[in-house]
Parts: sequence; structure tokens; C-alpha cells
Amino acid sequence: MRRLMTLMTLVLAIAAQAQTLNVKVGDVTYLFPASQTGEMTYTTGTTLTIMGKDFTISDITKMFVDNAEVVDNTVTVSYNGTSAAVTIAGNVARFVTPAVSGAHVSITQTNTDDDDTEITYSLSGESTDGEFYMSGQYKATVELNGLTLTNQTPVFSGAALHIQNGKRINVSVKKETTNTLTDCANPSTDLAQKAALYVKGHMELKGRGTLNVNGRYAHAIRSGEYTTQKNCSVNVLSAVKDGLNCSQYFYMESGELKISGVGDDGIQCDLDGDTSTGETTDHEDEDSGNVYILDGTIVINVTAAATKGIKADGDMRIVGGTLTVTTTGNGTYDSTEKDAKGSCALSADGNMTIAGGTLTLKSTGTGGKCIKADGTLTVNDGVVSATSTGSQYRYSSSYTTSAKAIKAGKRTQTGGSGRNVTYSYSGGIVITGGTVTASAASHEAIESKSTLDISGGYVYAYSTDDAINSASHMTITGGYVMGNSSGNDGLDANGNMYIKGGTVFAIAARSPEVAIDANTEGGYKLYVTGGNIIAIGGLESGSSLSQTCKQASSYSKNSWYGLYSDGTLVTAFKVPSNSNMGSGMVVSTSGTATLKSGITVSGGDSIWNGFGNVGGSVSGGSNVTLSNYTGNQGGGGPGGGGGGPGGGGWW
Amino acid sequence: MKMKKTLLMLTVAAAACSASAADYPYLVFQSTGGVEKAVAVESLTLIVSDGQLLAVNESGTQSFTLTELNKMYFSQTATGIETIDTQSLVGDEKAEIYDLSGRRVVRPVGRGVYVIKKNGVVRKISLK
Repeated sequence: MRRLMTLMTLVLAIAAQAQTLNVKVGDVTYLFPASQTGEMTYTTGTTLTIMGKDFTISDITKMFVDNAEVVDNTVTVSYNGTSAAVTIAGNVARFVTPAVSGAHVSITQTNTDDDDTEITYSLSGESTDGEFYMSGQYKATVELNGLTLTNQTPVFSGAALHIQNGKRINVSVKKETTNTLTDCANPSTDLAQKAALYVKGHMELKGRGTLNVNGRYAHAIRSGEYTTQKNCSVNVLSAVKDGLNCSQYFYMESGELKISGVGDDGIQCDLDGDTSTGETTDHEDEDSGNVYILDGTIVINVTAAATKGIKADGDMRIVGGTLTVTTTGNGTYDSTEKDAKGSCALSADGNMTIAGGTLTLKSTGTGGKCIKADGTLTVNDGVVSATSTGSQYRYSSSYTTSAKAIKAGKRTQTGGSGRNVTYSYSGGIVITGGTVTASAASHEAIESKSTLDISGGYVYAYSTDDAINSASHMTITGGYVMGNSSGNDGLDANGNMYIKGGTVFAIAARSPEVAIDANTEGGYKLYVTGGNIIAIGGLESGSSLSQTCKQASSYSKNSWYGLYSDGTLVTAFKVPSNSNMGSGMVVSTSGTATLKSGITVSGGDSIWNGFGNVGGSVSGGSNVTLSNYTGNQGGGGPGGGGGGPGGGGWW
Repeated sequence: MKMKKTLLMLTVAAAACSASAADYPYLVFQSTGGVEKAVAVESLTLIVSDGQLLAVNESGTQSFTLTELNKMYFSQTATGIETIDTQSLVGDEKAEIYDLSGRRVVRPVGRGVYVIKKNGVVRKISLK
């Protein structure tokens, strides 16, 4: 075996050896394999043409023959302090025109003859004052092969890496290399860059190496068209503006993307044209402003006022990966849009779909939110943790923005005034699976400005305001839903409330708040036609109850209970220890509901942020005496809906 | 047996690779008049100076007038057959003269093609 390996090495060594004609023009060396040159012609003693490349003979420093290895279709740039050495493979020499000034390198590339011939620019070395600028009209690959480049005194552009090429550019971060790009902090107006790493066309980040970027003038990374990422580790260490800014769409297949130290958004994806194409097949010619996250790890921290962790002009779809996004900036007044704006971890002007992944989102500033979608937020799978700890941002009484954990949908006033205002609704919230844990210190934890539908999954919401609120109808047909409010309603619909299935555990503050509220003042109603219900603080008055409801006159905080339907355990739950809780506990199941207090739970899965258990074993406990309940005995009454200022309802 | 076959294949492949790597011992320069001169490629450097292309290798320096150059190409053989004054080579210690059998001779004798090596430049001549 060893002999075989030795012979193979010898074969490869022999194959690698070849003669190369080096033609040196200043800091640029053209490498022509002797096997490819053919006839090299002289013209009037002034021009030498090799493989289609014309050289002015007086520009040639020298020519020599050696055994240099030539990789076809490759241009290498090796930075070394104040200089850069450029080598160009002979077969693409005629397509490439270099210009070198110290460590500032510019390449002009014309189209290659062959659609399959793509030039790779391999950059390596270090310079504290250099750049790489490429202009062209054909797709290319820029390979970062251990490059540390800072641009101090721009010659071609203020960027460290500027690809003025509207085609597809692979930015390949070579495996086991670390590369750092830093742009010029104060370029002249004519050389002012959009980012430290700028691609005019489509940018595809790939490879298995590490790329660090500092944007000292504007964005850290920007592409004029779409950006995709696969495998590599990208760290935005600083930026005056966004960490990563692109148009058309952003697509993350895998890899790591960490963004911090930025002055604006973490990732922003804008529509390029005026009209969205929506998502297209294979994203061909797509211009949607959409963000797609398939897998990988994203960690984003943004600190400036009203900034977004990830912002999509269009839709956002997350199907996997691990996202940790934190915003700390306070709200501010946007004089352009004439509105109060807050920070938000994930923001989509269109729809947002979460179909997988683990999302840990936090907003701490005034008016800060974790999720905001102007369209429909759909959660099908995945684990979402959303925590909003700030208070309301108030510019004036007319311009405020609330600090909710999750907000989706739009309610638009269509007419009327005062109590007779009319609205139209769009978007909303749909939860069919997954686990959603939402907490807000000051406002609704989960709010839909339209309808809210839950048919599966595990939802836990806590707030000092309504835990879960909808501006229009709320419908629960499945899943496990807990709304825990220490200051208002547990679940509050400003339209009708429909409980048709699933398991609902709602806790309200003391009267007049109710555990499950509907907008009876507006002529709407709570309809209970199925499901399992535990309601501390009672149900909205005037409810339509199609199944029997019972009530325990008292309960013990911090104690485990078991709810049974016809003797079968439906759910084990623990009463929170909020200081402000409604009186009485209403329970209802499709069969005969019974209740046990003081149970011991073992095994199973913890749900509802530890306030529930499914699949576990229950032992011990005492039967709780239940009386019939026909509505509005434990609390409730008028005025229980809507949340605080800026919330739903007509005020 | 299998190992022997593998080794045989690799040996053939090595030979093939060696051939396809195409080692060119010479860089041939052709003048506008059609005259060709071959220069050994080993340690070869070409320098442009004052209208001349200087081919420098271990054997020395050969100069070509740029305006009289037509083309150059890599070659595995010394090409170009000239007519020269062979008498001028007699006694020239720097000139090495070989017949096509590879035997070194003092001077070309009889008809045929001879190879002359001088100052790193190799030329073929034909005596008729």
C-alpha cells in the first residue's frame, strides 16, 4: 500500500511539473504554460501577442521560463504590506486588464468566450492600506484565501472588496482560513463606498472559512441584488449602518452569521424594483424583499434606536436553524414616515412563516418588539421564545408604539369616529404547531391586529396587559394555549371568541378583568363549543356555552392541579403565583369535568413555561368541589377587552 | 496479481503524464526572413533592451533585433536548417558540431544535416 501511495505521489508530481513562460509587467506576472502558448507573435517589434493577449513590449519588465504551476482561469493577488503581486493564468490573460498602485488592485474583466469559463480571483496576504476592485460583466469567483485587508487611502473605491459587476459573484471563503475586511472610514465623495464588502450584482457567500468585516463608513456587507450564504462563518464586527444589506432576497442555507456593533439593522433586505415578483420557482429572477432562513446559526445584536435584527421588505420564512436576536434600542420618531417606531428582532412588511428552527428573541428598549409582521404570522413548527421587557415609547399622545412580544396583522380605519369607528383587517396570526413562549412587561405578549387562529402547538403568553389579544375574532380549535395576565385579561378578542377545541388555560387579574374575554360591548360574544378550559377569573358575560362549565370558588397559587374529563386526565397544570389574580377557577371539558388539587406530576413533557405537563403521570391530590357555572361569576364584566393605550378595541 | 496490475497501470500513467507534461527544451525564435534559432529553455530569461530581445541562459546571451522578430514558440527539437560558412567554425572552440548520429566532429564533412551548438544557441545546417 505504501508503495502504491509513493508511486501515485510520483505520478502526480510528474503531472504537476510543467514549463511556464512568465511575462512580467510591473507588479503583474502573466503565466503561460508552454503546452498552451503555441505561436507567440511579434508585430513591428512593438507588440508581443501570447494566447490572444497583446503586450506592449516596452511595458514588459522581463520574461523567464520556470516550472511554476498554472491553474487555468485563475488570477491571484498576494498582498504584502504596501504592495500587491498579481499573477494571471495565461488562458484568461486576454480577458483581464489589471491596474496596480501599491496594494490597491483593480481588475477589469471582459466576458470570456466560453460560458463555462469562470475566472477565480484568489486573494491572500495582508495590507493595512489596500483594496481589491473588480469591474466586469461576467460571473466570477472571488476566493478569500487568508486575506486581511484594510483600505485607508482609496484609489479605486473606499471598500476593501468592491465588485462592480452586476452578475453572480461567488465570494468563496477558503476552508481553514480567516479573512478580515475593513473599509476606509472617510473616503472622498467620488470614491465613497456602500460597504466594506460590496457586490453590485448577486453575492453568494460560500466556503468553509471565516470572514470578518468592519464597515467604517456605511454597511459592512452589501449586495445590489440577492445575497445567499452557505457553510461559511461570517462575522460583522462593526458597521456604521447595517451589518448586511441586500436587495431582491436574502437566502441562508447554512453556516454562521454573527452581527454586532452596527449602527442600524442587523440584516436588511429591500425590494430592488417597484413591484414585488413574490417568491419565484428556484428564486429565478426574484425580486421580493423576502428573507429565507433554512438552517445555520444567526446571532444578531442591534443597539441603535428603532433598529431591526432582521428586516424584510417582503416576507420572512424560517424553516430551521438557530436564531438569537436581541435589540436594545429605544423607540424614536420617524420624521419621514411621520410615525413612532420601535426596535424589533424580526420584522417583515409582508408575511412571516416559522416552520422550524429555534428562535430566541429579545427586545429591551421602549416600544421594542420581538416579532412584527404586517401580514400573517404563521407558526407551524419550531421553538419560539419572545421576550419584550421595555415600556411604551411615547413621542406624543398621537405617536406612540408599544412594547409587545409578538404582533402581526393590520387594522386600518375605514370610517367613523369615537365608538363608531369602522375598520378593515388583514393578516393576523395562525398557529398550527410548534412551541411559542411570549412574554411582555408592559403590553400584549401576543397581539393580532386582525384574526388569531390556533389549531395546534403549544402557546404560552405572559403579560401585565392582555396576554393574548386579537383586534378581530379569535378562534382556538386545537393545541395547548395558556394566556397568563397579571394586569388584564388572559385571552381577549375584540371580535368574537371561539373556543372549539384544544386546551386553554387563561388567567386574568382581578375583576373587572376576565380570563377569557370577547367584545360584548361591541355586540360580539364568547362561544364555547368544545375543548378543555381552565379559567382563573371567569368568562366574559353573556357567553354562549355549549358544554358544561364548573367552578371552584377558590384555588391555591403555585399548586399543581389535574383536570379530568369523564375520569381521564386532560391536563396537569400549575397555578401561577401572580399577586393580582381573578377569583374562582372555571373548568370545562367535553365530558364531565372534575378537578384534583395538590397532585404530584412525574415524567411527561413540561409545557407552558413550566405551568403545564403532558404525557406525565399524576398521583395523589384531593378532589376539588365544583359548582355549576353559567358565566360571569368569577370576574369579567364590561371593559375587560382591548389592552392598554395603542391596543385593540375602539379606544 | 491485482497489485501488479495496479502498479503496471500507474507506471504507464506516469509515463503518459510525463509525456503530456510536454517538456520543451527549446524556445525557437523565427525572424521575419524565416530564419529560426533555438535557445535552450533551461534557466532562460528574456530581457528587452534598446530594441533588442536578449535571451540569457547558462550558455550565454543571444540577441535578437525586435523589429526582425516574427514569432517564437516552444519546441521539443532544435528546428530551422540554415546555410552557413562552415569554414568559419573550424578552430572555434565555442562551437560544438554534431552529426545526426550524435557524434561530435571537428568540422562538417560530407553531405547531410549537422547540429551546431554555440553560445547556448543550437542550429541545424545542411551540407549539400
